[in-house]
Amino acid sequence: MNDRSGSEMPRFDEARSAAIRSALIEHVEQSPRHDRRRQIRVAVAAVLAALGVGLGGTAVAFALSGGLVFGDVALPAPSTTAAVPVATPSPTATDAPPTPTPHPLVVTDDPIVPHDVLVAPAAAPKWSLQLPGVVDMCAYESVIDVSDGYALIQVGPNLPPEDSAYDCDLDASRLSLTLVDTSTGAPVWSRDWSWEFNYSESTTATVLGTSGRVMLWNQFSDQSPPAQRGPREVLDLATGATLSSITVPDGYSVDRLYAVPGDSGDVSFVARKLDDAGQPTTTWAAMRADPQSLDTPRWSVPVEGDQVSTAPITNSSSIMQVSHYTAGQPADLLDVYDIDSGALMVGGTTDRDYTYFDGFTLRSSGFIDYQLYRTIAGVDDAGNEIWSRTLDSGYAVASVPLISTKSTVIQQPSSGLMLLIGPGTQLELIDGATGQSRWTADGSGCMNSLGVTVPAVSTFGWWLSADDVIVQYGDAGSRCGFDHATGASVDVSQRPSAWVGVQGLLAQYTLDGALGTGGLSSSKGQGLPPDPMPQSGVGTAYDAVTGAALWSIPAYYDERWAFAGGYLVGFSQGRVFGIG
Amino acid sequence: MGTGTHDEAADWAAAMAGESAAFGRVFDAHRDRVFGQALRLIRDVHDAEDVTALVFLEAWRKRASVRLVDGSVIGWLLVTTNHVVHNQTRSARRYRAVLERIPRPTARADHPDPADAVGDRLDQDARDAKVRAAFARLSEADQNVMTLCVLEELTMEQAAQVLGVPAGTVKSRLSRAKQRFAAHTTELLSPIANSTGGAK
Repeated sequence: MNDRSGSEMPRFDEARSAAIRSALIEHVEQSPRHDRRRQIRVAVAAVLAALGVGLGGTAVAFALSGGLVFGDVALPAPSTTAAVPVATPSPTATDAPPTPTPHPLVVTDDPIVPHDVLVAPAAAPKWSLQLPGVVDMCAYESVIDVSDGYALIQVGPNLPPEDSAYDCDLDASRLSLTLVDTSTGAPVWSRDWSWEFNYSESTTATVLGTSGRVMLWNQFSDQSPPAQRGPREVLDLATGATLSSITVPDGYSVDRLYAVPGDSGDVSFVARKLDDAGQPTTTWAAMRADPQSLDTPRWSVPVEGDQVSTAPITNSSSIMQVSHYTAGQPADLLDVYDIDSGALMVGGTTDRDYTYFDGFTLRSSGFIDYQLYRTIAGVDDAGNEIWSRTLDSGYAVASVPLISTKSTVIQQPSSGLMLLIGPGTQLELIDGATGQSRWTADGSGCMNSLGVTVPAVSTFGWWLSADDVIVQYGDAGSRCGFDHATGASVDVSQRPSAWVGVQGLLAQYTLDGALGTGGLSSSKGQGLPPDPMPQSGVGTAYDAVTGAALWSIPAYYDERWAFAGGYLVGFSQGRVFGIG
Repeated sequence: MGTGTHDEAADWAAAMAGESAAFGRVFDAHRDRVFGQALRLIRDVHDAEDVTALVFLEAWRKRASVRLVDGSVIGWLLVTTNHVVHNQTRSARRYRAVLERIPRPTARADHPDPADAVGDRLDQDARDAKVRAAFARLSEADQNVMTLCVLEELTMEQAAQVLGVPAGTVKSRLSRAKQRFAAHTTELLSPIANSTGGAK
């Protein structure tokens, strides 16, 4: 297969080459804004390296020495943030300070790495913002990460709490969305909606990949009377403006819409055909469409069944799984479609299951028992097998995500690695993209599976920590740990559980006496919260490796914390505020 | 192992700092080898041109993790070419906005029908076509090690640096890849050879 040289060989079209070269140069010139942000983060970490000497925590030391690694996984440099002391003591005292220095709103598939707060923040928040739509304790805030430094804060839809006697205002269903620069607290835009109250309301915002659009959709809305349907819209992420309503195709019913990763802004879904009386039939269609025009899908294929469902694609794979079941069948049948073209790749199989990981997709077949499969295989984005393994007693698979990192686009940023469990308590770390084995170790000291006899070691709670240890976390602490490079056992007994509180890269943040931790909503039959809200709790940061307490600050009775766009924020009394 | 006489390491460092002209020089230096590698795997010259564009776009996107070996980025580019060809649809989606700015191919006197013309030129006899098909059948990992160690004649140490694995791993991978390549070649050259689809 030696290439021939000289005039016989095809040549690069010089006109296209020039166009490509020009496009490349333009692409490079348009990119530095994002890159500068990364460089600034590195610089912040370097400054803190000078400030942080003497903190003593091992996780902190890793960050400051530059020894922080995720194996050979390329990540933006982790950042730490030092809070500047402010005298004002209450999150309700001030609104966002007028200090926003806007940074680019760039949605990418890069992981969002948390900016840990390693030095004690001031008692007063760094910034504070009143959220719209909070009229009582029945509005719930949730964080939708957008990018490094940006998050959507959704409030609502309001519903009465299950375990409280508190009398909610249920005159209407309400929902608000606020895009916040969580590095400064500056609100970019805010919208709110209200409609006839509906107990089954679950409208939720979804970022549509890297398209720069947001979808508001309620998976149950087709089952509600029109007046009780909340917003079904596509918004411009940058401005919040409504670009289009979402209209279900005539003669169909649609429940879930799943964002297709990438910049298309499309969704994948199954739609159920209705008869002339509006009753459901056994005819369905699997589709990919722009939610702004669901009735003109990019492709649509018919599927028959009493029940048909699809699963969200959470990596760059083109594999769309559609399960269908008809009464009398022994089991669900699985069809696999190419998400780009709608072409059927595999039809009517009962012996495979696909799991989407960051960087690869796992195909499991030969189901034995709970989580155990006889054969597993890594497949590329086109569905081609790259490697496979067979074990008669079966493998269970544990993903090894990067601790505390998030992504707007994929479900869980991954180390590219996974643990195979089996035979028995054997753990084998393999590279998911190649199937190459890294090491084997005995996992008998790790957490057993709960309630069932297989697999011998639980697949839950595994993460790759910032200091390059693969750790399994239990409810009360860390259960076992292995050196990422060698598989040698590592003492992780001092590490706080990643399940309790808010998971950072270098620290774990917990609340005591706040929301669900001894404060509000900690017991059934709870009535109206105290007024004024007491600052009766405490929030504490612990070193992720040594478990040493790094700092503590007071917390409100109803307070809870979360990372939003990579920055630690708190919620209390209808406000969101920056902790560090 | 570079393909030009420019100071590639300096150009790459400048490109990393955002100097677009330096990135242009890296493109100039390696365009043809990337294009040639793409042609090994796909027959359409214009698709190979598009792949070349995608490879350099990937190089920019992943610039922080690009491995220079002996001061050159060519090994990384060739391995990425294999990857882009395997994932061309996805890669094209990622950079759709850029690709849409590149003019569509026009028919040229030297090969008016790109696919047929390139096929004829690359595969001057049926045997060449089958050997090329055997290479295309290899996994991406096998193609990478064959590309670097056999086609581009890098040392095992250089290939190891490009691939980020120990040299011993390259050696064993190469041995197995050669065996599989030989098996595919034998099968395809057999008079009763059948084509099969990829495993899904």
